[in-house]
Amino acid sequence: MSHTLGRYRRFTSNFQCSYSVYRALTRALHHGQRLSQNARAGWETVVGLEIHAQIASHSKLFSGAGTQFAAPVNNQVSFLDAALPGTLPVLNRRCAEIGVMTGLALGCHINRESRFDRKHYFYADLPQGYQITQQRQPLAEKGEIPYYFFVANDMKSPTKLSARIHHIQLEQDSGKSLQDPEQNMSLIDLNRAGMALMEIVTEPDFRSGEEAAAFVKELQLILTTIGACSGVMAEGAMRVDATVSVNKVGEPISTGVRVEIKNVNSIRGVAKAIEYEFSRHISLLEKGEKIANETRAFDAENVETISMRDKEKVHDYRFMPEPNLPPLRIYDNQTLSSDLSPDQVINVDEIRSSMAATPEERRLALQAKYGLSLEHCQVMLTSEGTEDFFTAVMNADTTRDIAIVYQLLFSILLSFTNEHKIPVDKSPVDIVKFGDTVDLLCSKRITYQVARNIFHQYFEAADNRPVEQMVDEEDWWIITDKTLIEEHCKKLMAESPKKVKNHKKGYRECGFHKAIVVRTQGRADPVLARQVVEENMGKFVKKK
Amino acid sequence: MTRFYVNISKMSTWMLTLNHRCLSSKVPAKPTWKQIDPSTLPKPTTIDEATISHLERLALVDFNNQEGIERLEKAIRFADQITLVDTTGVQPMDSVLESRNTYLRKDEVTEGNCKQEILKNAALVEEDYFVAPPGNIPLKKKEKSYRPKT
Repeated sequence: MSHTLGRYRRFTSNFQCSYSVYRALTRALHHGQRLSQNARAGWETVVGLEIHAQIASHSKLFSGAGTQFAAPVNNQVSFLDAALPGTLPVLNRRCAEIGVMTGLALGCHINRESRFDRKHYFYADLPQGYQITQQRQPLAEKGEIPYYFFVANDMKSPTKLSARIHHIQLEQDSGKSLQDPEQNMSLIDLNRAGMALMEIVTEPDFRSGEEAAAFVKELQLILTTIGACSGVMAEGAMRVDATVSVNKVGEPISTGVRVEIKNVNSIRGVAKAIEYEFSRHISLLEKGEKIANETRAFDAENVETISMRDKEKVHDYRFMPEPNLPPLRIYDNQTLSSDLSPDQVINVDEIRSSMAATPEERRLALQAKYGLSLEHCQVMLTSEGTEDFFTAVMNADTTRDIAIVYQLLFSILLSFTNEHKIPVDKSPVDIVKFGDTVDLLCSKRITYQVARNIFHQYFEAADNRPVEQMVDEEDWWIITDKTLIEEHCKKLMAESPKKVKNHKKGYRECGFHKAIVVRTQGRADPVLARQVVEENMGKFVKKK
Repeated sequence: MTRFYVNISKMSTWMLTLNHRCLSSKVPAKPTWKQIDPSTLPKPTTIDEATISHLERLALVDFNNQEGIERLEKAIRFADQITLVDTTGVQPMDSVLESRNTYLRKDEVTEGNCKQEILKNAALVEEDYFVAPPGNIPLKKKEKSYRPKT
């Protein structure tokens, strides 16, 4: 089944009654602006997404088989997963809890009663002949999340957008097929069969591939933050289907023919597949050709979408209620009754209060507490452990300069931890050493170059001296002696008269301030060095 | 529907002769009969060739001949009687257990690690994989017609 079990949804954008008129109006206005921004030669695209996220559980959705990635072939298969007669599905509590948690994180209404249905397929990697899913009454519905859209090459102007979630359903994954066209057979591994998936279905709220990609990125961040999914797209833990339609600007979106792109497994791929499809539609439409309502696969290597021929036939899924599973009921503090056994109760209020903060909550908190910019918050949220490290450093001394802490953490410390492939909290530069270095920078007693040297000592030389002692013993204190810097400057001027000439005539800046820093092993105060060079050589003015 | 009641009646007669009591109050002790006017039923369904090949594909069953089609049409005709039952205000029922909650299992690995047993069922195995026919190949479309020529 090439492992997506998506299906077409109604593509009409129906505002929920709960949305106020004001909200609908502002959205419509904003929508109009976005359409014109993303339109190409009079055409615009509308995109809806279906994301299949593997639930981070130890065992499968309805069986006790394991869920490890890349386990030995066919070794994580229970009798139920192999569809042996006489087996029955039993719901994994953790999967239902994670479904509820995800619903809450995506602002959804959690249905107090949800049901399971069978959806029929004939595929060798689906031994039951059907997938257990939730078609009529899914676990969660009608959500909305904000996400940030950073314009390419312009990290300074993120736009806050919002996407509505149609619903979230729990369902089984299929097995994996390896096609061997040469020997004319396919090889089936059932390890993935029956693993728990959440299908997260959005409204058609995206106007470009980039917007859809930005949403998937935010969703990935949310799911990993709350521990619902590993989010590793390369392992297939998150797979994206996009439904794309293209219409003339000004015409209703329903005039575009919908095409579904299946199984995109990278964030860049989401943007590229949609943009490719947008262009393909435009070129066909401009030639007066018709768009086929079909399913296409994304070829990441050649960056194009290909028609999936075996999907041409309209599926008849023959949905029917799953008779072996009574409804899943979710309780809250009000509806909780004492005659229910606690291990058989999922309480939505309990889950809400024990949930990790969502990325949006964390961003807002960081912005409010430290005045960090949105981009900086985003960087902090997406590189693991940095937020805790940053907070710990700031908590130890709240007067520290946030800009210096941020700069030292992201420009210097992270370059070391990334190179050594260790998390920030396992760094040899602990919070105390980092904080001491920050304080020396704040009081202008060392330069950034020296800070880098200090970290280099800790990482490469297994040095364990306290920061001040190291700086003292190595004689790394900042050079603020103007006469010493002037000496260096004079020397440089005497050495390269050509550079001096070019500088003075406005051809090329001499860059002596950098040379002075290098000649002092990074100890010269760079601001002072620049000032001295300017005093001796004059300010560089480029000749027109 | 008529046939259904006859069967039930046979069963309850059998139970009565054996035990002289009715085991379930929901099962009528005596059969009831009701003549159904065929004109109140929906129009009889005729099955076209496309439907047959679609059904054959779904059910992986070959209808094979005209007799099979007639049997199917008769079965649909028989089932048409159910449309006469008044279900206004009655919620459809998925299962007799739907007033209960689904059982919740602890998230523990208790099964699997039984590759040998699982693969015992395979007709063909290669490097621990099940071997299946390639891709999703639709059943070959048959060219023969089941409809008698008129």
